[in-house]
Amino acid sequence: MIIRILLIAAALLLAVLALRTTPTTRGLALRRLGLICFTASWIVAVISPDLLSHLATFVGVTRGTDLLLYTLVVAVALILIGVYKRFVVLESRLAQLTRELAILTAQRADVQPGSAEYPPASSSSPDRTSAFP
Amino acid sequence: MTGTRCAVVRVYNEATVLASVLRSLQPVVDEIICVDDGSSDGSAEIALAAGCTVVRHAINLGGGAALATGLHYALTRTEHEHVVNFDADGQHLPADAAQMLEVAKRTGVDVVLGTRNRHEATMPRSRRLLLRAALAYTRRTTGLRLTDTHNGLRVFNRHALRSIRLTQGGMAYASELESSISRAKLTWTEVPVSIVYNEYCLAKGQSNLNAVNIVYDLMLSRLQRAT
Repeated sequence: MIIRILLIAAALLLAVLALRTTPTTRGLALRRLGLICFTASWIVAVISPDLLSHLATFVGVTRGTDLLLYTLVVAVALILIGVYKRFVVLESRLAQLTRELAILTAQRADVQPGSAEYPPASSSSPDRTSAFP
Repeated sequence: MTGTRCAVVRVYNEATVLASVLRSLQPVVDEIICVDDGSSDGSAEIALAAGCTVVRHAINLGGGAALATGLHYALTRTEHEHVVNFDADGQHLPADAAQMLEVAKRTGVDVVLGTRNRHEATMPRSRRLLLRAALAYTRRTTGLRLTDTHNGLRVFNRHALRSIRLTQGGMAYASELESSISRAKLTWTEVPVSIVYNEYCLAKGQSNLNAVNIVYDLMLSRLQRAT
């Protein structure tokens, strides 16, 4: 049955997508194309449900609703993977940001605020008050 | 400042033991860099009062990220020749750290790893089995003939700091570190150390179930590198 091949291929594709971390512009383009295809097929399926049933019979599924369900499962999985990957990227950015901030604001016990290494703001920019009245 | 050494101590809510651990470590190193991983119990203030350098994560990122921050700070903001990685919960002995620093200085190796297998008597049985499995896995994947793994006591020189890349936020960083050693062809040696499995460490320390998370993170990163 064609549907089996399609479903197994979809599962493999999803696994590969989930493991690839770097978001590419190609990926973005594919997502947008996918959205357009989804909208188009949605409209076609609403206008002529028979077409969906024919397609279902062609790929080896008895009913059009079943085909719809399978497609839905794959679509939801795709979305989840996208969200998950975005989270991974965000987390790593958050770690970098936190690290930079931590190092910038590090406090050393032997260097008190006000000493040479921590010049007060007024001495480094004496014109500050006049520049920003 | 050639020949000086510092300690990187990761701190996450260790207020009850931190002061005494830091005091005992102070004679061993020239500077203690405390990486506060978003503690909410005043650990950072204790570290400051004890005379340590405090690098504070605004939010909790996990052990690996805290170590990465500490090592990055030591490399970019200090000139210490050696960095020892020391746990804040009191499970390591400062004397061991001192000995490892001596070995690093004398032999000139890039990395000195603490190894605890000769002191297994004090280790809980389940932990011993788990570590044995982890060791077998590490040996296989890195090709390093280690006798212990995931031991928190380590010494790095500046060359090692420049070569080591840590991306894992959680505890899987330990294996990542060992792969870095093998990838960058760093020279290394092991020094037997004692681990104190006191009540505080066991109550607060790693759950054995966390091994699942560690293995999962590692497998994932390996797969990602493959695709």
